[in-house]
Amino acid sequence: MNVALSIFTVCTVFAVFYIVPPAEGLGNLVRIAFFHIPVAWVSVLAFLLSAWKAFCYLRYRKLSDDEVSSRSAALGLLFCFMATVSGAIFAKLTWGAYWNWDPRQITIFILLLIYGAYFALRSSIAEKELRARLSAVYSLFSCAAMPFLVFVVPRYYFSLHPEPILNKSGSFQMDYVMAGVLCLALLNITWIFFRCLYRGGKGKADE
Amino acid sequence: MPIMLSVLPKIYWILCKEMKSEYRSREAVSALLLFSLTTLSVVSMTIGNEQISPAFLAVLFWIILFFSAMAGLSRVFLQEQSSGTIYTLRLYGEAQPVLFGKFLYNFLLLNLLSLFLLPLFLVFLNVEIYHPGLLFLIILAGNTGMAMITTLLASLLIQAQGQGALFTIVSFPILLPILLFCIKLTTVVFLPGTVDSLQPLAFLGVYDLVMIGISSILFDYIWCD
Repeated sequence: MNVALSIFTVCTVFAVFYIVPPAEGLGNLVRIAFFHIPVAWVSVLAFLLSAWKAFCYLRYRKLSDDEVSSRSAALGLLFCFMATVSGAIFAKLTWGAYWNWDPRQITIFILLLIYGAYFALRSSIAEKELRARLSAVYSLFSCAAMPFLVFVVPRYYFSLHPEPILNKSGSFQMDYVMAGVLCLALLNITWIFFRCLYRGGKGKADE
Repeated sequence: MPIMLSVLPKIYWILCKEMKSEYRSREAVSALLLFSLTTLSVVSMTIGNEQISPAFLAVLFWIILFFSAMAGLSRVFLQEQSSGTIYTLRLYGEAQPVLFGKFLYNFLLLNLLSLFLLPLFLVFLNVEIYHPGLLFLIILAGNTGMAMITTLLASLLIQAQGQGALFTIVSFPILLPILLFCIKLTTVVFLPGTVDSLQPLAFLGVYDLVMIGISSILFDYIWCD
């Protein structure tokens, strides 16, 4: 599995650097997007997975669910951080400023805050079962606030951020080579995420 | 529906109990009011007679309200823990009446705070209100959401360490949509002319409802084990 993943990663990196043509207006900078978009996607995926596992914990009371939930949140924090940093660099190079409170930046900043609060809460409770239960409640509570942060708040702020690739009108604004490589990158980063998620679990079980 | 009928008096009793114990200590009320007075006076003293834009005024108003709320609202559960009465409440109180009783108490407290803060704000900062009805609705909707979220999160922290600092950290990201909407809407109130869109108010209402629903569901898991 590890070998396959490594080969896949090397192929993706090769594709991003040698197959994708420099984009109009952005030039070679467009290659950052092939890191930025998948990482941002995974940080949201990790958040949802964490909330789902929190729900499973409250339902069935298995500590293994809580472990997956917290590990997913930890990886989510890491990916969220990478998305923020890569986004800020991208913004500096294209818009001229690292940070301008673009709606997407607001959303990802709040996601970072939620992850931070989640771990602050976890570290302040000593008892295992109690910690699992309370952090699961917090995870679901913040998950209920998320749709507003993602879909409603951004409507009231001016954005420079490009429309999501599959935008409202359903049109597809990307040439096929780029879209293909982007899919490849998405798949690759998602795979890396799940690999880290379950590898950490095995390591812990062995100890 | 005999069950529904029996819940309402229980909520009322919890509310009465909160008010009675608050009347004895006057801890939360004095913390809230004095905190807001201190912040407001500092702001007013440093700004002096300068003219401030409506957007900036709205931000100031809600920041003062938010941080004063942070200073007092977590007491609703944390005080029970420090005085040891939480165990009795757990024994006799069912989850939903406790949640909604305490929510109502926090809601009343926040409204009291707004009633106290708003006239002082108008006097100190020389503000004019052009749409009082709208402002009333905004404050009511904002306070509902704030009270619900802080009540649930305070109950989360009963058994945690370092509660005071943690409470602000934990509640800020979830309160942020409310703050952003309220600030956006309050800016309109301080501007002359007609109100063009009330859409944010509708979103605020929906957000309140979602928060009340999810709190009601999740509180069972906090309280009943």
